[in-house]
Amino acid sequence: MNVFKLYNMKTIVKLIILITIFVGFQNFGFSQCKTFTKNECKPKLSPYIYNGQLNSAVLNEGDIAELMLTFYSNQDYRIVVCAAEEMDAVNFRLIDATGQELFTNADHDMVGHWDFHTKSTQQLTVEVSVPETQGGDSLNKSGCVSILVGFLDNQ
Amino acid sequence: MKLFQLVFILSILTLIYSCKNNTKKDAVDDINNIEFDAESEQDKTITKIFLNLPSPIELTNTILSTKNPYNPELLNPVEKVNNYSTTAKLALNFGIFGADLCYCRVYDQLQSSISYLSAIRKLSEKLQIPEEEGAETINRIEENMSNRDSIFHIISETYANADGYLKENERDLTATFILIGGWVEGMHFAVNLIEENSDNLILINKIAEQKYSYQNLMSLLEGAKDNSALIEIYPLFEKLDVIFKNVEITYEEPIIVTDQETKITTIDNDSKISITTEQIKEITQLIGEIREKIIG
Repeated sequence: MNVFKLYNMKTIVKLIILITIFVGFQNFGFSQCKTFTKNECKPKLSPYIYNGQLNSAVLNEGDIAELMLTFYSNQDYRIVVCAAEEMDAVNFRLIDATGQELFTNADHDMVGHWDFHTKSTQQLTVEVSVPETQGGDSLNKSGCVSILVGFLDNQ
Repeated sequence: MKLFQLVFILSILTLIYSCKNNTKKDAVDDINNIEFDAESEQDKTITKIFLNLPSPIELTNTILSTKNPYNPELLNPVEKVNNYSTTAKLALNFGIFGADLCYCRVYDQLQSSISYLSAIRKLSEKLQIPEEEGAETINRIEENMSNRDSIFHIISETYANADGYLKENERDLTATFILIGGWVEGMHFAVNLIEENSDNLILINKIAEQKYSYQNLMSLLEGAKDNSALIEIYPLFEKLDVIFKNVEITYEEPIIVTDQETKITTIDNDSKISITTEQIKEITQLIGEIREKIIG
């Protein structure tokens, strides 16, 4: 009852609405990211078959995201790293279990996907980093980044 | 005035969230996208780590490339779809049926494929995954019965839609259960094929290579081990973890070659796998026990 003394019912209802909007706003961000991934990133996997797992997040400049996945022997894969327009190009590289860099798109004009074939099954890490803008007066950019994996049907 | 103060506080919260939205440690039900700060040897800060498991399509494809005959007794009967009611059971069996669907697809059992896809649709409905997200594909598979590739894409889309919807709605643990169910069923195929061909070295190695996927699986389950849905099966996963940790795999230095025309890179390195008959037996037994608890 003390609560009702401090805040009348109307204020509490407004508070609930605001909290709902606040929580909904966060979810809206993920929703937008999901829609972006579906519309802009997934088509880039074709003709590879999507592994069905959604790896997307809103990243800021300087952020690093990693995807860890087992890649099977004698299978053909495509990795698509897709960033929202406002993010410019993002860097990604593939690293093996020993930490050795197997590929970096920095050596290939910051390309957004990479096709590869593994001779043996191994756990690899896809590391994605958002470069920081040069110069101190620009605003910190932030946007959706997705990492998708596709494979070919080798049957 | 109080309302203004509340708006102000919420605005500050939104601002803080916007700046630091990738550094919070999520609750148990959000373990699939683990978010934390971690320092590596280069002092880099990793904002977000995604852990994936190979899809059931990949797993069944790689295991069944050994061309064993079709064996419907390996599958969980579609009639059992009505036996499941809890979220965990529904999601785990979504994964089980998903792998069964892939098995049927690999052997061109198209009528069975439709039955399993229908079962998955039922589970989607029970999991409250909206139809437009999770299950509008029955008609399409019927229309494309003769097209093997399109069936794979339909399976892939079904998984993708379910995964996306569940993560969007902060039901990451349910999404994880789907992946785990698929992995368990894929392993069930593998260990049963071993029993039919005990000297099949390729298959034995493929089971040993699951060591890596298993590391990811355990990391996915780590934050949820106290969840009531896992009380019975988590100890079995822990036993399996001990066995996989003792499986040894070593690699040669990789040779990386990129074809300049196709732009396809080949990672060429041999591996040496060390797994004992006893370890295979233990894995077989534990996979059987885990599967029985899931489908029972």
